[in-house]
Amino acid sequence: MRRQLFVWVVLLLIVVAGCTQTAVQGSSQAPDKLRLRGAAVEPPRPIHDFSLSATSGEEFRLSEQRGKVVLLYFGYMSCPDVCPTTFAELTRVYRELGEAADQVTVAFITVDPERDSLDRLTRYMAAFHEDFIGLWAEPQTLQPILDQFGVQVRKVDLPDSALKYTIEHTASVFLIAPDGKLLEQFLYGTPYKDIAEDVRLILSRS
Amino acid sequence: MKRNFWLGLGGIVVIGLILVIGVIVVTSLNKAEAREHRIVIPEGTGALIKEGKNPQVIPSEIHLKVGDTLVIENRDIVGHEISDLWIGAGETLRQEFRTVGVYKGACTVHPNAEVQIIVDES
Repeated sequence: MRRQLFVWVVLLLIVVAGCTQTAVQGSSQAPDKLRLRGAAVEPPRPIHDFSLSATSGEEFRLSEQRGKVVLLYFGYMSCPDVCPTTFAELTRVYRELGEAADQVTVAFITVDPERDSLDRLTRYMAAFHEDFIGLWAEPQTLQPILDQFGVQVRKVDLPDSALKYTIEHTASVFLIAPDGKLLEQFLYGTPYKDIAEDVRLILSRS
Repeated sequence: MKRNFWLGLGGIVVIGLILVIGVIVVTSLNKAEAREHRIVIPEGTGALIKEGKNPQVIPSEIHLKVGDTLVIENRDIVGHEISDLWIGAGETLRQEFRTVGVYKGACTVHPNAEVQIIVDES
């Protein structure tokens, strides 16, 4: 009798474990769908290749970053708050990633090529992290790149200011996956840990 | 003996089914608490805005709770900007908001050309 009871209890536990696992898997998201912390682009947007002058001294070609995650930001050096804040956060992301940062490229494209020379960009990027890359392009080369990402840029004249003008611009950080497609955008203010977590998740899946 | 066997087996099946249903119900309830807030930008929205019309696709303020997911589906043939999010033609953007905050920015869909996404505590 006891033996029979023992067998029934064991069978019951096996059935319970199996049913519970099946139910949980069935009601959760599809296993291949990433649960991202930024604004996921569905479907991921293919980005046409582009080549820009870089603070690294070599030409930067987007297609050569395949296999890495690219965190791309558009801004300008005279930006008083949003850009330096974003770069401070990206620095924290980079440090948070540790060794995984070897598989990440952080790049900054200036939307103020008139004032932001490559020399000035080099010093600006070095203030945040030696691995960050500043990119420069003539306006006619820059505009199609802005259009690909939907980056809005608007020059606002300040005739009474020493700056002469300021630039309103999209402040999101764009994440390009190792396959070269735009996978998500991080709104300004996204915690650096969220960005780092998403980078780790994408690298683990690639 | 045979009767006991079938009774036992039947009992196991019933308990298993109850557990499966229970897990499904609980996880479904958890999902329902975190809502999905969906906005669809219909085809032709860009053309209407160019003509000076107000297609009334989204409010000037989008109110969400922490844990809510904002899904913006762009069925138009042109891209649109909502706050700092750009959604290409035919794309869908999905953002789960995990922290309290206010996201303010330009909007190509709203007649005021600006929209705020306000995320409050759940």
